[in-house]
Amino acid sequence: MSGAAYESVIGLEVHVQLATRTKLFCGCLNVYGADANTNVCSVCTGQPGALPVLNGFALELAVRAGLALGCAIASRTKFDRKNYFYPDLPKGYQISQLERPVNGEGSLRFVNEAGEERVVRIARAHLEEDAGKTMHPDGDRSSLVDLNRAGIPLLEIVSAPDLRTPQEAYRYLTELKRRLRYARVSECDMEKGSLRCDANVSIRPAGATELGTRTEIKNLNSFRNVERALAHEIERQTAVVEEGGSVVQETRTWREDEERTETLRSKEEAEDYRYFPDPDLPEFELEEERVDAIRAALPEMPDVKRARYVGSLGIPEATADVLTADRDAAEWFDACVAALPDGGDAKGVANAVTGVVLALANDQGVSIADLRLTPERLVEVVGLVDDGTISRQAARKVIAELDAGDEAPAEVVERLGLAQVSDEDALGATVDEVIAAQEKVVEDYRGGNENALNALVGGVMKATKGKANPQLARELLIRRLGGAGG
Amino acid sequence: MDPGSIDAIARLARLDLDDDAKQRVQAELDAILETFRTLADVDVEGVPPLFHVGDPVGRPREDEPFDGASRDEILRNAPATRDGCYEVPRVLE
Ligand SMILES: [Zn+2]
Repeated sequence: MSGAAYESVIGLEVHVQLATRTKLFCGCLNVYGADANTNVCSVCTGQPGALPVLNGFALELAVRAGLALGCAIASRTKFDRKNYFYPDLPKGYQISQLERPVNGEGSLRFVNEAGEERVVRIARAHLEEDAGKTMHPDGDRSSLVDLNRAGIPLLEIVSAPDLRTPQEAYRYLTELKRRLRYARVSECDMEKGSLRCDANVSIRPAGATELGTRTEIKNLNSFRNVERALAHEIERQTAVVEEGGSVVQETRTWREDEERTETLRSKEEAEDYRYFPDPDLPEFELEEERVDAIRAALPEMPDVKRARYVGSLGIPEATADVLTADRDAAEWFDACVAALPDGGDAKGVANAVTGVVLALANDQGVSIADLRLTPERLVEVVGLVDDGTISRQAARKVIAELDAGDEAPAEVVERLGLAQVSDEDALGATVDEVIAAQEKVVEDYRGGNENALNALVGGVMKATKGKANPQLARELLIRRLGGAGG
Repeated sequence: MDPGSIDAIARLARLDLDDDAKQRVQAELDAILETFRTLADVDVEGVPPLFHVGDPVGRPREDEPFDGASRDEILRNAPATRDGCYEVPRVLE
């Protein structure tokens, strides 16, 4: 039976750690990589009598994320206890939100692998506290618990089961991460655990409306692994159904080393969390004016930026994608555009940012925003290329020099002798010399060999140590040798 | 309350109850449920739900760090510790 006989139905649960200074309900630092149990207090270790106090900035970041995802923001929000036992959960319950989450329904728009625009509904996005970390040293009879992570604010973003392929899941995650990073809600760094993802998946006959029995996959540590694990799980479910069996509702874990999913726990063992309102925390109000102010402070979102770059600046789509992948890069480019003179070369600047400046930042391992090179200087350099003062090659050198010191572009060009020879008389003499010295090549060219012209241009470039303006050299050669290709 | 429910609650609470304890707990829970049934009989038509008996609306705090507890202070309350961590019986996923 072909793969098209079934379609898959995928929903994702994403947890992101919010970029606050302190934890959700206490003033312990929210930092990654500290020594075990050094950012702890009586609240986040669950000592008797300790009471939680909500971090207002965490609430604001939750709203910001909700607005970036087009969610309906609750006017009143409250917290509930989710009860279960695990050594990394010191109170025996996690403070979460069941009945009145900060964010209700929203949606996320992205382009799928077939180039189609997709809109995936967000069911909800609620605040909760992170658990601690349990380590299981090899061959040990004990487990070790570090509570630094316990109480770090999390936003759980639950999608509706609207995704249809593993590739769509990958693209949804990429777009979600991009938006959350634009909104400066979270670093969304999977390696540091500030973004985590669980996937729900089922299959059904193509075109059916009823949902099949789903499984949940955990232990997904990269977007690629989400995609791979889903592909394997869909294959496994399809094989089960085709052999006449039925899919069992269960939680499965992804074994990256073995490229397969395996059962973690079945539905019978599933937890009953016995949620109830947390009596330690009151309700919180999200006044309309406050939400409006948070909305007004949101930056232009990447899809809007991309459309503007392509539509009104005439930048190629692929370049616009690179520019908008990261908010810092896009804002750096926006600053360039602001510095451009009327009718300036936005496309040339975009190419310089994606082709040279981002590579420079990458080589140094810093954000583009932290370079010494400024957008204004880059615009000057592009102007020098456009008016023929320097070549594109030389521009790379100038940009690197600008980032290493405090000189003006013209000073660098002068100091390194990078100005092109664009003077016809000065270049004319060299062109004559090259023609005289390369009789054989000249003959080839006159005989109709176009490539011979490139060799002659190369000769001029060599004779001028790369300083000749190549367009002008080509023009002068053609003029002297009498038209193109003999 | 039936014995099956008592077993389920005991399992969720990680309590290992012998038969005597189960019978005692069952009687206690029945009394508690009876009290709540009385509450459930009250006519609350038109009364908005109350989630909290203190301040109706909370005031969040600023996102400012405070001095928490030292590791030694916190771990002093733990039955067993090692390498700056709580040491617990091995748990396997
Ligand atoms: Zn704390």
